[in-house]
Amino acid sequence: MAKNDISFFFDPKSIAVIGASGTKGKVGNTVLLNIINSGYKGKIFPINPKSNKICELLCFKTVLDINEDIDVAIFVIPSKFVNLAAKECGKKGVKGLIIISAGFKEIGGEGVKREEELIKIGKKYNMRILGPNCLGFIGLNYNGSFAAETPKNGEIAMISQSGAMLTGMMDYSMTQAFGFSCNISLGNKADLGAVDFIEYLSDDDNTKVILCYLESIKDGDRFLEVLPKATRKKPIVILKSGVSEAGARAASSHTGALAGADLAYDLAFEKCGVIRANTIEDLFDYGEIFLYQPIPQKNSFAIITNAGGPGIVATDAFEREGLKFSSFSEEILHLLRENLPLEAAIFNPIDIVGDAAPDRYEFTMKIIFGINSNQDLGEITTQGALIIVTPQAQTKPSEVAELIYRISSTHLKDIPIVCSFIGGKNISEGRDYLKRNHIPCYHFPDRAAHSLKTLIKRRIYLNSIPLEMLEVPSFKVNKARVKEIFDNVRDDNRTVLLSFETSEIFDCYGIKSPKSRLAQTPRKAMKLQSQIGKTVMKIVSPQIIHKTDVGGILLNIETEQDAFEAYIQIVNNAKKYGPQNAKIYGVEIQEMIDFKSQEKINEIIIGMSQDPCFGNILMFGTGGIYANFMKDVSFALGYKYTREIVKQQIENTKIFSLLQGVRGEPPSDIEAVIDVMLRLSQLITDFPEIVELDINPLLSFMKGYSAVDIKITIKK
Amino acid sequence: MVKIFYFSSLHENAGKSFLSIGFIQKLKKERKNFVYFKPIGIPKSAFTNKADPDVGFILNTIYKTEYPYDFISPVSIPDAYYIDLVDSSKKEEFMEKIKKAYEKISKDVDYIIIEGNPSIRKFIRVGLDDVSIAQTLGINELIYVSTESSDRCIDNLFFTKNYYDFRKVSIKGILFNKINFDYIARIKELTEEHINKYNIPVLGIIEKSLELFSPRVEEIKEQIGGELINEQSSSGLNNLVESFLIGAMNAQSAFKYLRQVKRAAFITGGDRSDLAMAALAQDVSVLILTGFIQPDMGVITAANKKGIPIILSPSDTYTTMRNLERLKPGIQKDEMEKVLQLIEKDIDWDLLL
Repeated sequence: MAKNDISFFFDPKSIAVIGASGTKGKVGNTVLLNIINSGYKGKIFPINPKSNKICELLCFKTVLDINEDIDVAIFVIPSKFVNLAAKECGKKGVKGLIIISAGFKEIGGEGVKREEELIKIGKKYNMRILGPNCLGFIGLNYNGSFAAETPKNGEIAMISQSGAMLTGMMDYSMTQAFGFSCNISLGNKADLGAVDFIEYLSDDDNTKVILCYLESIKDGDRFLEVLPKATRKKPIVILKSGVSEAGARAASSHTGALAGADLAYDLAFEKCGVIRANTIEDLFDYGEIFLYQPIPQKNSFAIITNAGGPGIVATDAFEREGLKFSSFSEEILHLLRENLPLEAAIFNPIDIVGDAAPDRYEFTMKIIFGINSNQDLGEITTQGALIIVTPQAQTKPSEVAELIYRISSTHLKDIPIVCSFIGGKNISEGRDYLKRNHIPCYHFPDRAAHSLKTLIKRRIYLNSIPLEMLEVPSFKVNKARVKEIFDNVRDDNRTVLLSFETSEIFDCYGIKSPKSRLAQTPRKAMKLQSQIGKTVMKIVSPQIIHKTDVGGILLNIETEQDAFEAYIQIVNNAKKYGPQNAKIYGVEIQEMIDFKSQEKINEIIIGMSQDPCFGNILMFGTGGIYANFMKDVSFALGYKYTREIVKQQIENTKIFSLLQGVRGEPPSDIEAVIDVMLRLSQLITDFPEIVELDINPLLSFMKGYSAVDIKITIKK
Repeated sequence: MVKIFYFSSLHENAGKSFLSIGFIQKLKKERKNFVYFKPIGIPKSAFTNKADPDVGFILNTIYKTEYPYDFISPVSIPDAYYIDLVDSSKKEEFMEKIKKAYEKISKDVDYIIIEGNPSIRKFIRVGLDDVSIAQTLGINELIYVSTESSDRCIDNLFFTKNYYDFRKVSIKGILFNKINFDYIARIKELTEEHINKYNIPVLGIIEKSLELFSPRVEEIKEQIGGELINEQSSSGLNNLVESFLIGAMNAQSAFKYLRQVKRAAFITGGDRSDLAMAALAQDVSVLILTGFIQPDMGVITAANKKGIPIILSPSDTYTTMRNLERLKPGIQKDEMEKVLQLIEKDIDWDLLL
């Protein structure tokens, strides 16, 4: 069996039900009946020491009593007996365990130990485990769960961390056109997690779309490795609920504070091409559109409506979602003008007005897509459409629905069509018809636009360079010296680096920062000032994070006497206004940037924080003392951090326009800033012990830059 | 020739017990033949237990000796109303007891550690001050322990030097103890310019250890007469407290201060669950909830998750804080190794041994 082979869960030759029961209502009975009633063709072995026969099947005391091979064992026994039975399965050579039983990690204490033991048993006997504490597994071949019903077969794979959510979704699907290739309840994820199943399902021919409901992701590295490959093969939509505990903790740095709790998931999903759903409704909307509608060639849509109001609502929704309107050729506009009523709006969105009968919809669709036309229609730019129907006396929604399906299925196989039939009683037949025929039809246009947007997102992703082909630049750096500095910091029982240390680290990685030395007495400050020249003096204390707040910074120190007095003032301020027992290492004497010689200066914030699941997150944005209030920042995951990604990240901020130069200003040295970001990425990749890093501000000039205030925190 | 380390200081709380504990450990480690002696013990109570708590702690932990307590600390004088307790006849008797005990224990040893009175002024009116005792015992040199992290240390040193000169004893050396980290470099500067030229040896500069001089949660609980309400986190009673923070503002504003503290005792009203929860997300050692108001279950659950004890204080926030100001944390049994580390690192043993 290959290391990551889990095919036996999907197509087992034989299944043992440990804890099978003949008593109606018991989980052991439901599971057994579900397997039988779902038409499973393989062999079923009920295991129950107290019975000889259950549901007309020969019953065994343990799996060891069975003389045939068993692929999958489903556990529905009390948790305290699970590990013993799991060992027997191991000895028997069972390949996979589906442990429905609860009473493991989720109950804490004893349950945690029980789960740890279970994991060890699985590893020892090379068995893969789904669960424990799950609903079970429902595939095309069998229903190995205690769900009330077996859902329709179809092409959506559903993976859920919550069993209850899964049953709800399966029940919902009964009212929809789509069905499932599998429904997998992950439970406690003792062994197998979502990523394992996604990896398998990405190559599963029966699955066209993968939908997931997840509360957490266990192994971020593996997620980043597997998902980008899987999403190239088929769409994956994830509804991720909850906020990570580590993300929720209060952050001590600018980056941490600005990043928010759930950011890493957003970034990771985007990087991997995963479509994130924010609601259950979104999850199914996206699933449905990916399943039934093609990806458009480009972002160029038309709206056809028989009512002005909904047309405006739809236009607003398009703008919100970043959907673009197609432009019609002169020839198309001419035909529309000639054939539609005078009051009709012929420019996109097209309003065919309230009295539009089905033939007007048909005419308009055919013209804008150039169907069956023997006339020269010029360039056809429309790559998809939203068709809005409101029920007027002339509308005949069911007939409109039929013609939309007919045109779409006959002529527009590569063009996505979605509809919004607004209303209740009068349009329900038409809407149901469309849904049955795989044309997404929504109550209101907003959701339609929302779904179309996901198609565009996927188009952009599929057109992007695959992650594995991206080249991450590598710079020549002095890694050994940085390691030494970190070792010294740890020896000093600190986690926050002092300014003179960060200055040297940046020097080792080719990032320019002002000359900086530590003074521990006023007289040493005088001496250093005379060596460095005009200086800025800053308190050096790991406990004082925001130096300005405690009067810990003095600027424009031009003479030795000034330095002497500044030293005393800064230390006194820190003692008076700083935290109790702050350990004061002295005062940093830092070279003062000569602002006058620079024609243009922009204050930038650059930072990183570490997400426990997905690793480094890099931030870029408007810096200075108002950074936290401006919140003009853009984030990117440190994984596969390339020059193109940095450019995109910078372009996503407002300060980008300032860096380019506004009102006749010259541009700033953006390339130099990109260089800093890339070198920083290399630093934090080389040293995973860096948990937080902020540069605020980094002063960007017309030529070059200077990283003025740097904070680095490492792990204990 | 026997070497004597007689610790004296101008001010109280200079850390002489700490130095004694460190010196005892160092001499033990070096396998030296030594005794520890504290001429006058100061018991907590005048009438019940007459043992000095520091001496008791030393004898019970690191210094096992064949001599009974009265030989190690022959005289016991309580702090309260002692002028009346030691009249002229008692003075002679006490001095005689000190002398006899010293003669007995100092025989055949190479090193003697003497822990002086709380300050060199102490008991001077009754003739039992450090210098009088030293002279009675035939000791002419005392170690001067200085704890000021400011230029005042130089004034105090020369004041003491003048006083010793007047009393015809001398300073064996100066030991800077409990010095703030930011002042160590300055002391080195001052040593070069103000101390060396008077031939006063600087025996060491010992950095103030937040860990050693920080109270444990248990000590705080005793001091404020508080009650632990989450027994599940009782192991947290051993937590060190390096700072105190009073939560009276809203949670958002408190956050700024909470982010800056380390191992903090967070004091707030029992009805301020918002603040308590904000504090629990930071580096706090204990939650002290005043007014004896029970917090929400959510606070207790969150505290238990992190093993942080919650103490209910019977007093209001102001009174609780005032009580804490009187707290004088002592060295704990499990901190001996840390004491030795500091003593070994920061003292010039070549000068002393």
